[in-house]
Amino acid sequence: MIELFRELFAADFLLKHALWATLLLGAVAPLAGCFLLLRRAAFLGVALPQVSAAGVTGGGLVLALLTAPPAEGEVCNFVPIPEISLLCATGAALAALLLLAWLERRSGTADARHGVLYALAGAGAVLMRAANPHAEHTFSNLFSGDVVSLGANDLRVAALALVPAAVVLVAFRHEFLWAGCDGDFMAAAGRRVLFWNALLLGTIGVVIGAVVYLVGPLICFGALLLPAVAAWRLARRMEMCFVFAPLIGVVGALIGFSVAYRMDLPAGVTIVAVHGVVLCLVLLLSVLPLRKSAG
Amino acid sequence: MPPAVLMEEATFGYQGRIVLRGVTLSLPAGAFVAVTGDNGSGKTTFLRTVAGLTPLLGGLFHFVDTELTAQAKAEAENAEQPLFAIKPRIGFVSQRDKLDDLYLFTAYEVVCAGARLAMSPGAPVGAGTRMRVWEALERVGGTELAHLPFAKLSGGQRQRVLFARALALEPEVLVLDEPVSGADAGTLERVTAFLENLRAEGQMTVFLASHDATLVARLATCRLHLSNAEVACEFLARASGEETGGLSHD
Repeated sequence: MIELFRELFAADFLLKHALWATLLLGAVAPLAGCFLLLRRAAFLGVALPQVSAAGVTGGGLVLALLTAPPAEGEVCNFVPIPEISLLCATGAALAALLLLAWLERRSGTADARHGVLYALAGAGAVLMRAANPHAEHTFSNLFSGDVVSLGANDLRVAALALVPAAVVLVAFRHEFLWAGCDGDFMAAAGRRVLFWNALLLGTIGVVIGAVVYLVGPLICFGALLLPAVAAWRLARRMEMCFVFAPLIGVVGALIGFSVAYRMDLPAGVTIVAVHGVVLCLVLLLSVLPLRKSAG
Repeated sequence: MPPAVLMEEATFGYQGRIVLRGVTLSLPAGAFVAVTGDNGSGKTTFLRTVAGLTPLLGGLFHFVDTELTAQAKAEAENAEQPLFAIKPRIGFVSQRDKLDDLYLFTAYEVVCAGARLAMSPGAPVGAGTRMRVWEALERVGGTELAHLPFAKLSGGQRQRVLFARALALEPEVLVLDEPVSGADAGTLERVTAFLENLRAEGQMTVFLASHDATLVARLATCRLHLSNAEVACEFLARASGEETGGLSHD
């Protein structure tokens, strides 16, 4: 095992950018997931990645239509620009959040709105992918969650989005928590609850956009929610939840990546599977009489 | 010095629906104002407007700094918006004594949230803030609850912790929306004694909605009775010789 880790973290390891990108999303996505969970909006963590994926395929389709399709027998030389893909993923997530905030004032339930968004975004992504002559060349990774193909540029672009987002989520976690938990008390004390809610949702939109850009929607909602749920079950206090979630995310990502590398499995889904196993273990632990329920 | 309150032809309501209209009155700094009325008379709407949670539908409502100089007051007299109007820090304790159980807060963390709101966003909690949290817990007799999960506390204990949270904010105005409705006798007595202390200190202007006539008689220096979309105001004489007059109403 130590030998394997030594190989993974060696300076000349071929997949080092993919590994670091995986660890980065493993640390940051669960932080955003904690807030979605606490606000009882876990389904938003499923719908938004799908919307982001639709954003990436939509942006890719527009770019592809501006590029001549490859002639028969010719090698496709269309290369998606990482910054534009990230921008499309994040922009779509933020646009969806704005739409949901606007719809909030109207009738209907949040779950229904998230479900409709998920279905339409999923269908839209598939249709736009089908209409894109370069799709096979460009977006195969987006839907399979192929982590190992991530390169230095992907890591750089994702870090530019994820590191500042993590700083915001950690630094202002108390404001985000209380704006969701008891907005009236906060507003009466003179704090702008709308601002803090908008900042939180905007930051979650950026995290989801970046993670979808890296590994696609399936891995994204796995990374968002599974470590967050496990951390919540384990934690007795709120602060512990925000320590456990990224910890479980990173350790799960590292184990998943190692297993996939050693056994030649698809890395993205292996990481989700490992996070799932961790969650099952935590659930099992929480029903044993050793531990009191957190509430 | 806590703020005084001025209302001129104030109209209270929500989502365009008028609940109280044409309210004109002034309340002295440090008043302990009981808000009474039947269910649906508009007590919660009135208090939410006082707390700044619901916008005023018409007229004027101001908290006023009573320590301004005579010159500032003279300048203010001709201004459309009173120059001495201030935005005080308001502590709000609602009817609801439960926070969502998904939030794994201890009682200490709940009270600390009040203290944090007096600080810059994201600032770390220092020794002074921690001391303020313990003082607030001590004032409501809740130090032994500090490390217990808030979700596991009884209704009365939760209400005391929420009082402590409002105190930790060090508010100039305290708005209490039926905070002891349904409380047992022990809780009611503890909360009443605590509120009596607050009134005696005179460091806050307090609004308290309550159906409990005994509580109102024991605590209030002024009573606003809400009925048929109007407010009747009455100053109550107190044995300790607090203020007893100087008010107009519609």
